[in-house]
Amino acid sequence: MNQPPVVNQSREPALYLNRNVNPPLLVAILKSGGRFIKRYPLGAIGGVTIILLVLMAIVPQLFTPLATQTSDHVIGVHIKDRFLSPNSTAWFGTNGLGRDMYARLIYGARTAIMIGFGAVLLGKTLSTTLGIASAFLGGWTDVILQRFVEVFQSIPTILFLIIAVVAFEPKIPDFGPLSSDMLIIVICVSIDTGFQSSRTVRGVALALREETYVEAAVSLGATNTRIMRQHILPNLFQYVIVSASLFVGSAVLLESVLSFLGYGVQPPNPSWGRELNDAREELARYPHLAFFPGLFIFLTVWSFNMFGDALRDKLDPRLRGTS
Amino acid sequence: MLRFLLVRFSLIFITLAVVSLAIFGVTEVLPGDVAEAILGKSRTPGALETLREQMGLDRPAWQRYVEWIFGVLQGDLGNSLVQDRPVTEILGSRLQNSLVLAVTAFLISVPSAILVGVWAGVRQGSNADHTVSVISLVAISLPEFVTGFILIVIFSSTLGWLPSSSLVMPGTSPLARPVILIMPIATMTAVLFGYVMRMTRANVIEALNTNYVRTAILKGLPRWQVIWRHAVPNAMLPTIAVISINVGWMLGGLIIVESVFAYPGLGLSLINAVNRRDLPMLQAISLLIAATYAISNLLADLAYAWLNPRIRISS
Repeated sequence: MNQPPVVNQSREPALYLNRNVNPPLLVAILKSGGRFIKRYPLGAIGGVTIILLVLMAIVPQLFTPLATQTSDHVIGVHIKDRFLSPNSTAWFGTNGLGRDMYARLIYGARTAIMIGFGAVLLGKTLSTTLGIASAFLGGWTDVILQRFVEVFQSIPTILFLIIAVVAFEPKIPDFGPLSSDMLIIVICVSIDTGFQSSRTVRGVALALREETYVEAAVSLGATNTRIMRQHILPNLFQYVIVSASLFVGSAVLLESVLSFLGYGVQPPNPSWGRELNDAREELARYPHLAFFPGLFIFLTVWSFNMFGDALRDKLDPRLRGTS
Repeated sequence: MLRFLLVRFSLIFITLAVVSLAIFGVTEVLPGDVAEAILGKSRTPGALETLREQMGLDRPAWQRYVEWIFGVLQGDLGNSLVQDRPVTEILGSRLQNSLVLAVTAFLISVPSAILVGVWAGVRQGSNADHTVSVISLVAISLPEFVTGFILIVIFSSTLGWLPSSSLVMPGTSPLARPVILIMPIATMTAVLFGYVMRMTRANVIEALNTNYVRTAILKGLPRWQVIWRHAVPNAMLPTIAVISINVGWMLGGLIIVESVFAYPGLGLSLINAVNRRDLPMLQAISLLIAATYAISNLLADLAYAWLNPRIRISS
């Protein structure tokens, strides 16, 4: 009777006592992955396709016996093998120069993925920086930045991209795995989306600034930099992740549009949009030359849309329906 | 209201001035010029210089810009460097052709997308809703040139019902042969329909979950009245924002669709102007597109204010 209640005698806070209750990281990831698949089956299909595409971009050798992007059947000319229909060696047939369409599309994945992810990384960094700067520095910075945003918003993206890519491509050097024609697409798409979507970031940041915890930080004398880093960025992060995952598809699409019109990726670099452009001449006789590149572009864009949608619903249901 | 319009129009004017300056600046650094493009590979330095002098390309850039801007203010957009005819004369019919395409696609896709979106939204979770959602997702993931190619392969090369290219004889209207318009319009409609439909559906679902809709249901209003008087007008507000953003995409889509179907509109002229470095043409087309976009944004804001009593009454 009358025993004193059990008190936590150790000096550690109670939180740490549960250390071993949480499952190991791998199990946790698998479990939440399983839940994701159950709740968002379409998003999961999109996710699997994205993993396949990334694999294709990193190790194309897994998918095609033609070992490198410069293999003979990828970039060579084979007059007697022109316009073959899909068969057991060339699964997607061959094009007007006798090149293996399947291998060319596999190698095109690297172009699409590098440009897609590159543009999203650079563009979203830019839009987040500009948006936060505009919201927090206010005053003239805000006024001037917002006028720039309006200029970018009043020029249709494709018009801007065509003119900027044609004008600046010869002035750009190669950069790592990105050749100059790819790098300029990444830069131009990033600048366009960086300015355009910085306005939404600004809106979200302005809303966050009114939160009580920011008021508390201000009253405790926190500096602007500290508030941005400690309070605003972490809360903005979810929004940025969602909009970034939705934008990869658009960036891939813009690349293929530019390449289709002849301004984007230049031969011999492989590009799905370019393949489609090459297919136009013989569309009536050899529709398979257009079908497979079209399918690859569609599947990529669709997968990123699906995955981004599911991610948005999971991370922040309030954003549902916004794009 | 008058003040609002004045402010907006002056803002549009400033934007266009900046756009024209930006485009002029960028075209200055375009590699190669029209003289090189015209003379081609067989040029000699002497011939190149003479041609540049004839076209006035040897004078400093700012001088040409100032002259050009004064011309624009008087309605003179200059002469095409390639065709040696006034730009306004060439672009007049091109603009008409593009407008026929864009306006028809807009008038078909937006109302139908709103109707289908509302229809799917009030049936959220049903099989019909799922089917419509999947179709719209496919539509927005298919770029215009893929949709266009699919249509060409099906209706032109396989069935032979429609012509695969939409050439228009100079001096005639595309409406004289409406059959060439079917595939371009269908292609443009698909993407726009997908976006607007998805947005409407999401907003209708959100509006149906609000307190004012619950009140309307509880006080016994008929279902159609709840939907069309209470839910839909509120759901339309964010939808209009999406539509006005999509006009920009649509103007970009025009470039692709016209290129796929070889339809002589602004988009095809733009591509030709870029390829031939025809700066006056490029400038004029860019300004036209930017102006169209700015005006459609203004119209969207007006529609927004008209639908939203909070804005309408306060102004």
